[in-house]
Amino acid sequence: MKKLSILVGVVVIVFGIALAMSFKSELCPYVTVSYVVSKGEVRNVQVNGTIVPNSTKILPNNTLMFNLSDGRTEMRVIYHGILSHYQEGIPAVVVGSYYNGIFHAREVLLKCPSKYKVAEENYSTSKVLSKG
Amino acid sequence: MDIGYAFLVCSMLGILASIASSIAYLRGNDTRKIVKRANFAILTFTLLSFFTLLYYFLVRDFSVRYVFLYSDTHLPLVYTISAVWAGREGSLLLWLLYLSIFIVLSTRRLDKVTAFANAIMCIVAAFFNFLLLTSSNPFVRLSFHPPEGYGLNPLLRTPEMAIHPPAIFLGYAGMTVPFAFAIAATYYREEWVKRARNYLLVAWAFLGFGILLGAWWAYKTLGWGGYWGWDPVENSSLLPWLTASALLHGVIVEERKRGMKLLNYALAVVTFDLVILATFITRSGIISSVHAFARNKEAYAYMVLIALSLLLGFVVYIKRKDFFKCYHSYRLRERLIQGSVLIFALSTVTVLVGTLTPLLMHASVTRSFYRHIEIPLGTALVVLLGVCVVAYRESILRKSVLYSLAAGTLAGIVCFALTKLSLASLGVGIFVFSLAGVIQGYSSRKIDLRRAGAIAAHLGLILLFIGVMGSWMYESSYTNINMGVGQSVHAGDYTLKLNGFREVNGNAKFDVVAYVSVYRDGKLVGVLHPKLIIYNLMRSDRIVASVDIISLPLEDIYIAMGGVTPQGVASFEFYVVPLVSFVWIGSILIIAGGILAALQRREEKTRKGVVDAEGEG
Repeated sequence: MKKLSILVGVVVIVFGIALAMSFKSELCPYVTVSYVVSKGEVRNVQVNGTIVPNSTKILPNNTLMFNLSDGRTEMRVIYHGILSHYQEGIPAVVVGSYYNGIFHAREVLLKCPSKYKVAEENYSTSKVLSKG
Repeated sequence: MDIGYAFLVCSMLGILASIASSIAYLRGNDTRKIVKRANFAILTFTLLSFFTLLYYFLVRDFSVRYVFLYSDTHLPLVYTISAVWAGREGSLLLWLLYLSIFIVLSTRRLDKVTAFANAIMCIVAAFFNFLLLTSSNPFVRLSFHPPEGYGLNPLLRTPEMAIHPPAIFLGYAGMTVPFAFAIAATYYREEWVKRARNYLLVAWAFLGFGILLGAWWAYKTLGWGGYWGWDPVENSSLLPWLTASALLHGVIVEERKRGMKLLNYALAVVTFDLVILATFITRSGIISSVHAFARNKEAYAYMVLIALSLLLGFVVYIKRKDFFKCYHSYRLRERLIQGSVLIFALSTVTVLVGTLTPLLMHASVTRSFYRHIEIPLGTALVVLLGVCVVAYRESILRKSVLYSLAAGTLAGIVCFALTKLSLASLGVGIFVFSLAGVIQGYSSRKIDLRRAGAIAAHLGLILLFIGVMGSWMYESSYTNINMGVGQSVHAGDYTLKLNGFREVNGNAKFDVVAYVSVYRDGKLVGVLHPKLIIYNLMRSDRIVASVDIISLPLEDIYIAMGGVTPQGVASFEFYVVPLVSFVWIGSILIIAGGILAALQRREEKTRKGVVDAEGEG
């Protein structure tokens, strides 16, 4: 009985440590464009904003560059891949890291719901952020 | 007042009558007939209210706000019916309808415990009825009569999404029964497991079925080559399924050894609370930040219900503390079953932490967070299963485990020799180890429906394990494919060639279909038809990409079209997903296992239980 309690205790502690470590490394905070730009370098964050009209540049190899704005500050975003419902002037969440003055997006979530659930979330976040 | 709303008010009166008469019965008056009539009235009026809403959809009465928001004149009949539960209001009505069915079914034979459980279930029904009468009223009318509706979200126009909510909500509502009986029976110092076990099994199976439909829908609709994105909505339905799975294992120990009473009791309460949390998350759709949460008025109502049920559970526990004492010494098999309960519990904690992160801090976790923790836990569960199924007789345990180990090691070595993939070989080894365990464990025992259910569910888990491993760890994705007509592109072992496009004009939509031939080693594997569907709707989300898949026995060839330029160059995402069919077959087996076990008749079960106990003793 005692041995068993120790075993369960060890399992739970190992689990707790693994959970905490994974949580720490995989946490991706929501931040604003102004925060990112003021920091200069930020890794693994989600930034909410609006795609600035007439800022898009389409480069070869499916690379897309555009500006993202939170109403106060703008930043340059670069993304490799297809965005099937890309449009200027719509809210977007970009996930990735900011360095050398450019945000390198790993993921771009657009409000226009090509991906239904993600879009719904976006919508709510953008609304909230614009309020507060 | 709208007639549908009036029916809801009548249903509420029925609920109050049922609660009052249950209390009167518990105080010694013979009000059994009134309770039953009141319950019948709840069901009748809720059903009438539901049919009224359905009627408004069928006659396309767009002056009803809810009908306007979720349908339009072009919507086919089937999806018009499914639009009833496409939004929050209709889903809550469906919840209430299911709950009233469960109330009528579970209170057919009325005694003290049932009367108390009835009162608890009716309070839950009153909660949902109250929401429907106030903040989630589906019968609100617009001040004018629009000629056309806003339309159902195009992504929801699939058979899976038509039946996914009814399955999920059946599971959710069903979990109220074990919760109510656990509290009521414990209060009267009686066993609750026998009374609620079948409801638990049915609710668990339907919840699983709903989750499977959601995953299958995501796979063939969202176009990212995956079926499980660990997003809050998916997670929230997985949470009660995990705790209910733990509970299903816990009750085995309770039935056999009268042990684990407290843990099972707690699991029944927690499962119910997670169901309420899931209902909230699923239909408010918003868990991305504290602000969104606070803005939603209903959030507080849900929190109150969760707090009240936890408090009730706690108070009954304090009052009946002596009832939970267990004096049994467990054997190895019970210990191993407890191990599985522990794994389910740790899994639940992981998913809960990830899901609630956006609420508690201004951040969210990535998919890898879940995978880092859930893959080892799932692997541990499968290994444990391989040992546990042969541990029913300790004399054969050592030999059986050795056989399984030998089979697993051999399979792993063969797999490594063939593929040179070390993790895959380890996975195949574990797969064969557990499979050998299940075969040995069940082959020498008498099979009744309940055991058949266990075999199906456990085989399902093993298949699910190998399927998830294959599809998560070895998926190849090619997300940057651009082709003009006549061009071809290499993607791994495959070559894709765009043959051309066709435009299909329909009544309510317009399809652009691409014809993509897939070759492997110069041989044609098949032609894929990914589509862009443009709906004639006033919605902004009226363009939908439709995926096409060729399912081979060991892998899926999966393609999604992103868009087409005016020059006729289309962009595609192409995925090769190994072993994904094992995920579907495994999940179906798990669900079938729950249904099979629930079909076991009660009398036989009791007799069988005695025989088993003797056999073990």
